[in-house]
Amino acid sequence: MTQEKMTLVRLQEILAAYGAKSDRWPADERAAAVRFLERNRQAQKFIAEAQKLDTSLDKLPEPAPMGAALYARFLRIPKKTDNITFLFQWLLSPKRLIPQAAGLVLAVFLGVMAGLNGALEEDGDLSAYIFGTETRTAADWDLEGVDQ
Amino acid sequence: MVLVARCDERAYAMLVQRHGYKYLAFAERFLGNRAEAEDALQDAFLKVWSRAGTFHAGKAKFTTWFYRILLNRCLDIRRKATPGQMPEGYDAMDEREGADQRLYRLDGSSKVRMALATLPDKQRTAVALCYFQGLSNRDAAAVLDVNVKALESLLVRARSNLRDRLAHQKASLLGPL
Repeated sequence: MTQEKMTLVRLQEILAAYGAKSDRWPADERAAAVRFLERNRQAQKFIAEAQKLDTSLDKLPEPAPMGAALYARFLRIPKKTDNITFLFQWLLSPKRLIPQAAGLVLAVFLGVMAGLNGALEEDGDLSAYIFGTETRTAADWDLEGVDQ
Repeated sequence: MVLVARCDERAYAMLVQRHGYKYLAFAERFLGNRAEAEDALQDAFLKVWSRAGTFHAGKAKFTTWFYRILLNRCLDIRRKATPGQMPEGYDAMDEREGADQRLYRLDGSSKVRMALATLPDKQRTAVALCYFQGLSNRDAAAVLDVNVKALESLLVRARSNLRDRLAHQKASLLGPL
C-alpha cells in the first residue's frame, strides 16, 4: 500500500521514531516523505534535529565478527534423530522398559497372591482342590461324555 | 528450516553461518555484553535445532520467530544478571576522578552503550531492531508482538530518552569544568 499523502505532523512522527535516514522510514510512506521534505523548509529543520541523535547512535561500533571458534561452538549440537526413530527408541529404551517390566512382574505376582488369598478365605479347600490331585476321583474332573 | 527439522546437520550449519552474525549483533546490542550475547545466541540456536519442527512458515517469518527466541533468552539473562550491572566497556564512575579524565575515559561509544543500557527492555529492543538491525517496522512490531503504531510509540519514547540521557551525561561531565 502506498500512502501518497504526507503532512508535516506525520513527517515529524516519522523522524521522531525512525531517525533522519530515509532508508529506515516505513516503506509505504518513504517516497511521499522524501518528496515532502524536498519542498518544505520547516521539515528540513526537523531532520537536522533527528540527525544529531543518529550521529550519536552511529558512534556505537559494529560488534566484532564471529571467529571460527565461535562458529565451532555454535555447531556443537546434540545428536538428534527424526521423530519416528525417536519414538521407537523412546518406546524400546531400557530406561523405559525396565520399570515397565518390573511393574508387570509385580502386578502378576500381586494378582496371583490376591487370588490365592481370596480363594482361601472363601473356601479353605480350594488350594487342596487345585493342588491335591491324589484325592480326586474321575467324577471330580467332570468327564461326562468322554470315553473312558 | 524443513531440513533442520529433519535433523540435517549441514542445513543447521548453513543457518548458523548465514544468520549467526546478524543475531549476535542484536544480542550484543541488547545485552551490552559480548560473552552474554554469545551464550544467549548459543541457547537460541540449540532451541532452533531441537524445536525446528514447531516452526510454521505460514504463520511467521523465520527471522521473526528466531528474534523472538533470542529476545526471550536475552531477557532471561538480564533477569538473572546482578542488579545494576553495567554494559561491557563501561567502568563505574570514580568520584575521585576529575571530569577531564572521565571525558577521556568515557568515549562516545561507551556513552551511547550506557544510555542504551538504561532504556526499558521494550524500548531498547525497538531501537535495536529498527535502527541497528534494519528491520522494517512491520517485522519489528511482529517480533515485539505489538502493532506498528505501538512500535512507533516505543521508538519515539526510546529516542527521546536516549537524547535526554546523552544530554545529561554531557552536562554532568562538563559541569565540574
